[in-house]
Amino acid sequence: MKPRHERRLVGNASVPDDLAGLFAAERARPEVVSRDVHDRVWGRVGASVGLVAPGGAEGGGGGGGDLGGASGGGSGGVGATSGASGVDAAPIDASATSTGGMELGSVSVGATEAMVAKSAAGLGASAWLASTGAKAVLGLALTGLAAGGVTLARGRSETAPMPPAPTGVASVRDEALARDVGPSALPTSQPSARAAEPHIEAEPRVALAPSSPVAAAAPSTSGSSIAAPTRDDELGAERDLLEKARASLGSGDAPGALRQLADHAARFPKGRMGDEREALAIRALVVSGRRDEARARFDRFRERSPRSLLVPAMEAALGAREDLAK
Amino acid sequence: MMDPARSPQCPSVPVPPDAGRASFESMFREELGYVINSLKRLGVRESDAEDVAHDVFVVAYRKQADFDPGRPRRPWLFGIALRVASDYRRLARNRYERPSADPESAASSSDGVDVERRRIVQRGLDTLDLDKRAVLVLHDVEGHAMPEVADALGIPLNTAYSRLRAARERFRAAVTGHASEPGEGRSA
Repeated sequence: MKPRHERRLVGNASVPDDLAGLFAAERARPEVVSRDVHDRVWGRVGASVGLVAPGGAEGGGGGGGDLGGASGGGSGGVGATSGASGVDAAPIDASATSTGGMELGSVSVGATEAMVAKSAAGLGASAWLASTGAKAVLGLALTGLAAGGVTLARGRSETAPMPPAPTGVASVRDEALARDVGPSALPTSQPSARAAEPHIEAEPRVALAPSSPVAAAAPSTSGSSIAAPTRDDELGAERDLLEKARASLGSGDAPGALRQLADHAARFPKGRMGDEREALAIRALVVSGRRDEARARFDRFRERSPRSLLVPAMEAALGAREDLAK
Repeated sequence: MMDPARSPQCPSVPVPPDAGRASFESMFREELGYVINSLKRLGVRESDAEDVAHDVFVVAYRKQADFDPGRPRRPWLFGIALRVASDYRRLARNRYERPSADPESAASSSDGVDVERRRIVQRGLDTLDLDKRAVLVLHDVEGHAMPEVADALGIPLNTAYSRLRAARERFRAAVTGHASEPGEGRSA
């Protein structure tokens, strides 16, 4: 029993084959936010944290996520709870934002009553700070500016190590606030658990194939994980190829898609995304008007993999009229 | 891009320096989509995602200084999202339900296969409690290493592993209808 347990503990870092395709699809979920949504949420966030006064600046037409876009929902749903506190915290706003300005206790959390209650405590802390420690914080905040910039940079883990943002003063003040976010917000607060963990070195995987968008941003802190270009890399390569095919199909180039899918079949005869390839191929054939071939291919596939999760999608593709399938 | 001279209507609220404001805004811009996706993965309804994302960024703003820049940002944001989503689900339990139609399906028909798969994933995720769900999403979907997952969630690594194992079993049972683990033998 024990060895099996050990093996799993180490080995389960890799996503199981049968689920990999599913998770890859979810991973590829587009992170698309419409400008409307962006502006609306940004306006409300800006109002809530005191970057703009609640209901204050009327953002003319929402210029690229400008803070002024507080119109929309800003004063509506959320600001009502405790947004007014933004004014109190404002005096240290200028100094604080570079490190994140956590001393701005001016928080209005609409959907979660508990957090609103706790934010009141935070407001008390920030008021104290405003009267006593604002200057000290200014210094710290400016020191932290560079680090903060790094934090917020896109390629976060690829950046060179920077001195951590100063948290000495902050952590004391913010203790009350910390509770409502919990240890998750204090990533360094669990060193003992990690140190005591014997398997920490045994995380061998490359988290994701490097071609995946998430993988590009994936943490490289555990440099040891660059071990072997293994299954996950292959999955990425598979995925790339299928993405190309999908793009071809999307742009109306069904023959091109079929070529790329054939390429996939040749390169990854035992690939983990065979189901997806077949589903794409069936769609491409339908789009090309080769319905009989599509049907035959589907029948073969279903015989092979009757339990595939993609069978319904394939049936749907076969059922679609050719002119609609485009 | 940004106009520092804005908000003259409210002289008591000084405009923060461009740098700080811009850095938070850039994080917001870069991560709003991620946060919304994460919230959906954590069971927040589509129609509530904006509200809850707002809460996440408000908390993130306050906690920003606690964030260790040496660490990846997304697990940290995810940890915040988890807490906020947890509160959300507590309050919304009685009215909580999955949206009947995934708006994605209409938007990107050329991406049908992935959409279908994502629907399956959502169905599987919906069968998990939030703790398991979080581990599965961070590790199997987002691809973060387990020590990072444990860190982001503030749990011991062993706990993270056992949650991952349980989550996969339940997830697999939910999406396939059988509970075995076919990948296990092969990966040895």
